[in-house]
Amino acid sequence: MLRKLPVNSAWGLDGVSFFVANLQAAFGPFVAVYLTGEHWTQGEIGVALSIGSITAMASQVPAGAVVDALRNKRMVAELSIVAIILSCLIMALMPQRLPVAIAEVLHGLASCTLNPAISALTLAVVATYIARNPDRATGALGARFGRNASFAAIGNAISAGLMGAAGYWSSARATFFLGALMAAPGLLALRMIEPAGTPLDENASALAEGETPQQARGASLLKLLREPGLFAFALCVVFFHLSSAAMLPLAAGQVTKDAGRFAEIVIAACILAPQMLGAVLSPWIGRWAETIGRRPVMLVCFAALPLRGILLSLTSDPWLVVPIQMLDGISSAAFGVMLPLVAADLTRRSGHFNLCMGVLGLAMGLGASFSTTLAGLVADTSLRDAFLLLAAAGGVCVLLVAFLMGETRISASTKKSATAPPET
Amino acid sequence: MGVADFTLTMPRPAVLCLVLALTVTTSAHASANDVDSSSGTGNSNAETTGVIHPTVSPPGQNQDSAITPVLPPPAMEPGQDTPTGDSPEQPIPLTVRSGTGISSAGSKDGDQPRTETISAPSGGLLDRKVLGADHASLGRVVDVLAGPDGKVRAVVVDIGGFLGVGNRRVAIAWSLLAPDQTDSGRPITVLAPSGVIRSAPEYNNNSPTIQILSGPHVTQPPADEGNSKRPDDENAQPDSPAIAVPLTRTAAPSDSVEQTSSGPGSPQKGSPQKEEATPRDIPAGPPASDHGR
Repeated sequence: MLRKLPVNSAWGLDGVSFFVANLQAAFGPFVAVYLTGEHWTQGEIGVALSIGSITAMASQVPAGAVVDALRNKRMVAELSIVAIILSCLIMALMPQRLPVAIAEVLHGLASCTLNPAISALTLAVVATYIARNPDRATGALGARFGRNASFAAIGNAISAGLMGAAGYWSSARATFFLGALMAAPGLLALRMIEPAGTPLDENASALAEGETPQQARGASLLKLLREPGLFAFALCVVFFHLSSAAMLPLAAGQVTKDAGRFAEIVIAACILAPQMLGAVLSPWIGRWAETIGRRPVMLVCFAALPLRGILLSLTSDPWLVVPIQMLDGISSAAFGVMLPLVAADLTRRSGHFNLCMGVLGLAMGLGASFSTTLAGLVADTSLRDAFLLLAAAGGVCVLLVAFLMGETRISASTKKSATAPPET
Repeated sequence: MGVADFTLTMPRPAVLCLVLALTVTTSAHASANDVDSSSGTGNSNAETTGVIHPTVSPPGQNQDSAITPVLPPPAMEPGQDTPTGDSPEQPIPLTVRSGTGISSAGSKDGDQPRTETISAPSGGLLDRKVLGADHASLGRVVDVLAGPDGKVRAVVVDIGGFLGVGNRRVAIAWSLLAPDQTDSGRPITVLAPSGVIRSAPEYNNNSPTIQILSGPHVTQPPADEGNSKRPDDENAQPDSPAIAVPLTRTAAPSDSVEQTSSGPGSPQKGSPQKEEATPRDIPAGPPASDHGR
């Protein structure tokens, strides 16, 4: 049965993004539901969840550094997927305190290494592609990240739907088994990616962006830290997640209250519909990021975020929440494409792409944690004010993009001169 | 959801369950006409207080004496307890030495809290599935709230969303639960329509006022008997037709339930919806779930 898998890196990347990019759904708020059913007290559940989130945040930057140091990114990705499958199985089979803590730690570590590894693989694949087809170098990276994000969104939607159905019709435990089952084909997809590693002294992001190998030398940590766009973008990421992470839970709480029997369907629609919209938009966003530029696309798409906050504060009708949530599809799709793309841009001269991804991942985690805490505090007094506060954070994000971030794309004219240094 | 202290969170639910089981079983058995068992169980309740205040509260001590026939009266001081059988409230003075005397005697019988073995059906509450009156699945019990009078007031139910997103907690008054909950394997039925339960205000254990969904309960399912206490009374007339039927059928019980559960917070007839556990119950203002004493 083990026919040799066709080596097609494009499909391999598609497959990996599809199968694996979304194991977060099972390990998010659903863990609390599952553990309640397993007779855990609320305090114990809180501790388990805290272990998971602290591990995930603390290991973002070290994991990025580790992935940078390892040459075989594919092996890193494989090990991460195996670790995630293990943690799903442990959760499902042994819902006691120590195994669950281990599962949470494993999952945190694995997801911190997996995302940078997949992006690094993407860079390697695009670099190889550009080396083979130099005439089609322009815009290849943006298009590829757009396609990754598209498959990830489809995978997200389908797996969330399947897990929800499994939890509903079977039991909470079944969702974890399903999660493990859905991750397994990701290993096969990884095998389809061509094993072309990038030599360490060359700069993967630079190559993927179409620079020649001579320009691509010179990885330096100091150069990365001195890159002004890095901290500006990290701040944007913080505020983006500060704004968007709590909007869905707040809106969902309102929906549960008002929609009665249909609450579960409405919330499912709120989660799935934006993903489908994101799946459709992502390739276009990737293309526009290359043709029009990163900054304009970010401005327009991120502006959907404060708009969503304002609209959510105005209505409490659960059925209106679904169309408003579609705006989430726009902003999240844009974020999913822009994060690795801008990271690649920023590390073009300094290397250490995965470390940069780790730093941005930490920014994501920080923003998301503060978001839920802050929104929870304000929502106790007034739900409307909570949404307006989140919308304000989104507005700050857009302003940061407008005023603090420069355009990180190299224009075609500067790329033509091999000797002149590319300007930001 | 901060990092809670393991050692503190573990004993608390266990103690709460133990107290709950004790109060439920003792209140169930106290109504039995057996003098021995009632004084015995009353004694087990009082014994714990007796241990705390060994030289005070003669009624407490008296109850010990009521069931300690083993204690030979002539061998003790003149002021020592004598068995009085069936008048546990009769005060009997104690001497100082009776502190040690009681502990030595208690080793036989019991001023120390003794364990009680019952073989009556009883069911745990936590993590049980909860159904509405129309048999719709709502969620699970995650907590039990007790009032300063030592009685259980409400259960907290975690009402689910999708994949954990949108979960809310709602406090439902004890009086709304269907009577027989002794089978831990079967779900608890709340005698109110699911829609009303889902729309109830959220339970927030950090705020000084706890909102508990309350009201007269509908008689056990067929699904559509309305509960008169809707939080938003938009379609309720003063006596909406949905109420009239159960009320006339079960006039006395539901009326009395209505009165005990609505309390002073019900200015109008027929529209008390939520019970707010504020000034009447908590003079000092700590949250209802926090009544340590």
